[in-house]
Amino acid sequence: MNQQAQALLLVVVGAFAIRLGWTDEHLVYVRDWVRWPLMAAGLVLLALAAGLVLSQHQEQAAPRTAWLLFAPFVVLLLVSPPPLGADFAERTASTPYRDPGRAVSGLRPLPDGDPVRLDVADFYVRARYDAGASLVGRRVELTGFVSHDPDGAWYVTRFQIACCAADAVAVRVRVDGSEWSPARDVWVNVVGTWVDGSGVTRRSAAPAIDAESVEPTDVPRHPYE
Amino acid sequence: MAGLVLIALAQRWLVPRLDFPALQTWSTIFVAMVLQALPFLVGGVLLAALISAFVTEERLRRMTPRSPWLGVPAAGAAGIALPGCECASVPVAAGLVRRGVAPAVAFTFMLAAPAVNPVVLVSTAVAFSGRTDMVAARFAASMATAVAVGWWWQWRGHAVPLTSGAGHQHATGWRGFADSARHDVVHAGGFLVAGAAIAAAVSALLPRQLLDAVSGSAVLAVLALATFAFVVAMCSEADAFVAASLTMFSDTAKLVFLVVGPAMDVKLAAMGAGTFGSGFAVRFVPAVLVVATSAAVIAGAVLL
Repeated sequence: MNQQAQALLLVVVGAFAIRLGWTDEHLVYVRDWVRWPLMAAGLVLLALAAGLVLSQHQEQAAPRTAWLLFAPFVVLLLVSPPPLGADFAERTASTPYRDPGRAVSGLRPLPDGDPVRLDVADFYVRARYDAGASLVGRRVELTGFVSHDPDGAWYVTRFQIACCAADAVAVRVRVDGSEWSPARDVWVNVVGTWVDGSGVTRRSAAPAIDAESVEPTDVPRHPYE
Repeated sequence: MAGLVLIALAQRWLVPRLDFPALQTWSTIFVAMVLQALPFLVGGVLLAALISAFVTEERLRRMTPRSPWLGVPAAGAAGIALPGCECASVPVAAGLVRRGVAPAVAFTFMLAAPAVNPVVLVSTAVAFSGRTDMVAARFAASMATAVAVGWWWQWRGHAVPLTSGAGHQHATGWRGFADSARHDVVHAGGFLVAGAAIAAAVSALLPRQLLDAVSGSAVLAVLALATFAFVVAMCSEADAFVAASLTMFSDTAKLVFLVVGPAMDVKLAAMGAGTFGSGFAVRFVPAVLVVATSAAVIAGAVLL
């Protein structure tokens, strides 16, 4: 790879990094705080490109593998990847990682509100580790995308990420009592009550919500919890 | 250049035709890994460039113990103080080698820095809801791996030619700084992308039931999670959360995942091969995998 191509490479990667950090687009891939290091890295790459163009000294070749650095940005343009959805959730359906384990007594009381808005993971954890004590008699509202399972049940689903989408863990709550069974990857607001006894043991199925209403909604700004 | 223009023009036509769920999942994970790694790669490259351009060999020699046999554990201890992603530690190690630091010492630092720093230990404690035995076991096994591999390299590694040897670059000062940084970005970056593409394919396509199926057998579970750690190439700051979610597995198997991942994975192997040459990679990669897995199994038996 010659010097011009290297300069172009650094400009493309740097410009994409700044653009993704500047807009909300990075939220599909990484946690919000990464936007600042991402934009800083972009600026450094632009500066290196400028230095390469301005310097007059001898040709500096780079190995052919350097072309691979274009690949993620070609993928961004061609596939414009959506937030992780039902495909990955159904493949990896497991337990949420914010696992309170032995600290069962540590759950805070449910906040006020009727219905009260909860993270899908929060609902899951309350059902499982508090035997649902804090959920009894309360109407809750969950937002997530729809995933299915082979038995015909459907779930309101969210991913939790620690750093980036590569470490995403799916958390899902089964939706009972809804007339409407939405298609996969549709984002929905579900209002309802916890199905008594669902999801309380380690090996049991996911917790369930008895829905009184299911409404389609937009993809939230932060697609991951 | 023409290729880029062509892609931009073809975009409108191609995008709706690339609408397969598995391809989209792969793309999201692939781009996410590259974006997450990019700031760490650039940070590591800048640190390496600072070392290359502004720290004289004299000064570096005075900072490190004279004997590499002592330098190896010292480098392991230095890894505690420098929170870094594995993507940053490869160019830093290359920078150290270029400045005449014994390769064994640089490699120990490269293995220790992403694995035993406070950020990783705290995130492990959070993911495992404050289980100090898991944190201690992770620290002990990772440190033992870094030091053991360093000593092994000091003992046996002399014959292996490293492509990033001394004399690679001559300029110092700001010119040398910029040259070194640019050189490392384009060298390591391409390999990082290749590793991320493979790791994303495994994440996106591997059915997790396959993993769960082997979780019952102690030996298979350890081998499965060691392999999983190698192929999914997760950041060391985040892997504890995924390990904690693998509830079907024994604690020792989870520990193997946590110790192998930061020490060696497909992304690091690719970057190592690109930076130090394939002669290095074919010896170093399997050795680290074996040592890390053994260290984790022993630490698991003693501490968990």
